[in-house]
Amino acid sequence: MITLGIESSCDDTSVALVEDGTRVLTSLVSSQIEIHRRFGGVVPEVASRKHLEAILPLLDSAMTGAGLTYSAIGQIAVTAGPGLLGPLLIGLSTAKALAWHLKVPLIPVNHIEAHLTASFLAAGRRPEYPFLGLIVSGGHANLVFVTGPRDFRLMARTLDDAPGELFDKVARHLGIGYPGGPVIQKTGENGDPKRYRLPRPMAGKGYVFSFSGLKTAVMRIVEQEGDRLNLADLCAGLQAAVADSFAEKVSMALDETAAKRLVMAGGVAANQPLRARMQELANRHEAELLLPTIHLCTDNAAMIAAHGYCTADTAPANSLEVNAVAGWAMGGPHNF
Amino acid sequence: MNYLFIDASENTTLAQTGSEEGFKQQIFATDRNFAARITLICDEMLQNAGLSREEVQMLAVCTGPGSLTGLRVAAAFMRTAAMLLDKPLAGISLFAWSLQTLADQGITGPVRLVMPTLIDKAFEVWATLPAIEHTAPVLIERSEVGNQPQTWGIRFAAPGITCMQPEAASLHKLLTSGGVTTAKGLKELLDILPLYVIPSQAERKFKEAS
Repeated sequence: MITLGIESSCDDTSVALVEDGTRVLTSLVSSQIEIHRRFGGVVPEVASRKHLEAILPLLDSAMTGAGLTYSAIGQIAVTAGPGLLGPLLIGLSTAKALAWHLKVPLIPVNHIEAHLTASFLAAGRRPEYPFLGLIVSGGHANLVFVTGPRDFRLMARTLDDAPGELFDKVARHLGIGYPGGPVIQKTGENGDPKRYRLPRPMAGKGYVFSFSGLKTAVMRIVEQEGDRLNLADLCAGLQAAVADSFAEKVSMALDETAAKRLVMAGGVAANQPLRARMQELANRHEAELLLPTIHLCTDNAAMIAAHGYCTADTAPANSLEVNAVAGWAMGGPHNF
Repeated sequence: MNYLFIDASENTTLAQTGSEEGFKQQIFATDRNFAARITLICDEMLQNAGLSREEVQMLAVCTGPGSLTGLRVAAAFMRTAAMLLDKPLAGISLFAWSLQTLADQGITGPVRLVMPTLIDKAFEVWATLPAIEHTAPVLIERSEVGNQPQTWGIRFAAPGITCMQPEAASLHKLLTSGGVTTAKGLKELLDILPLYVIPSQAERKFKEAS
């Protein structure tokens, strides 16, 4: 069964073809990073226009690249939320035209749920339950216990900023570029993470994340240090603080759930210090750690296709009538 | 020439089918659910016209001006459908459709077509097609609109501006006369885009940054 995946929830247009939910035949991404870089963030109206321009050529390239005709597509999985409404609607409308013409099922996919499936896809496997999932991105910091394709128990979430948002804001303040995650990692590569004392937000306060205080702490250091500021040490310290914050809650959750599988996903899962910290933690708890490849960390349609394959049974019968939902919660019903 | 046309430039969705026997137009109260109902609308229109998807010879989509989200959803859907069905797609602006309507009503000479719009949801400007020979709209300020002969408001009226409705028969004529430009194949279809005549905050920021 070949699933066509379409993703357009933010600033990446992506089309992929995945066989049986595990084998990526092709996965193409058209990034708008350069366009949005000048604004220091994604402008939804601009993103919508660029999705409309990019999606058909990408679809054509994906089919050509895989050496397939449209008749080979067995079903279509498309991101229906959460995300930016205008961009979501471009992918959804394109997917509807495809499903309408090809007379194949349309599966609305929750983008955040799909990020967790990406880690299994990277290993060429279908999701195995239960597992503990940590989703870290520009919009999310969610710790969930997953017992089925769409069965999630939210254990922790952020009260304010998501880690990707924190990295973007700090990078902008430091004037080192956009997107923040990669430039902070690169800048901090040879830095000393212990030089600057940064807080570990919400340490000892149970299942909750918070990152806005870290941002304030960084800004205070920048102001205090002035010309003496060591950017590499500051970036290394910031990443260590973020990793420690996640590690404490993940460790608690591994103890509580006795999960033997830990999955980290989302754009910030590409962060090497965080990946290393999670590996240490998994080793200590004798749990398997599943991480997406760097390509599968960021928004991509391969994970949408793979998750659509796993959740096809839960798709509404009238899926051609679904709408995009900007705030679709993980595991939530299709309230279209 | 059998065709299916979709106009999502307003809160309601206007759809029209046509053939040599005539045309049928229907307005759907879709509001914000246009994306959810687009396939139902297409199926209903084709069923009422007694046409299968394969029997449609041309697809057409309104390119605006109007609701940017609605226009984009319609464009995304119709461009994809045209590519898959291997049919030509016509992009019809409200200006071109309105000019055809005025011509069909026997109105000749230079005319001015205007539509109110907003910059940054605050400053009122007017999209206008200043003369009949122009094809692309330009933006003018509200103060520039009044007291000119033959100034027509597309789907609205104001002092000095006569309301006109783009008519179904004129659209039918436009689409079946052979005079409309169509796009076929991936490369040409990419040129069918909404008219972005509303300079939103994003567009202004984009231009400033550029």
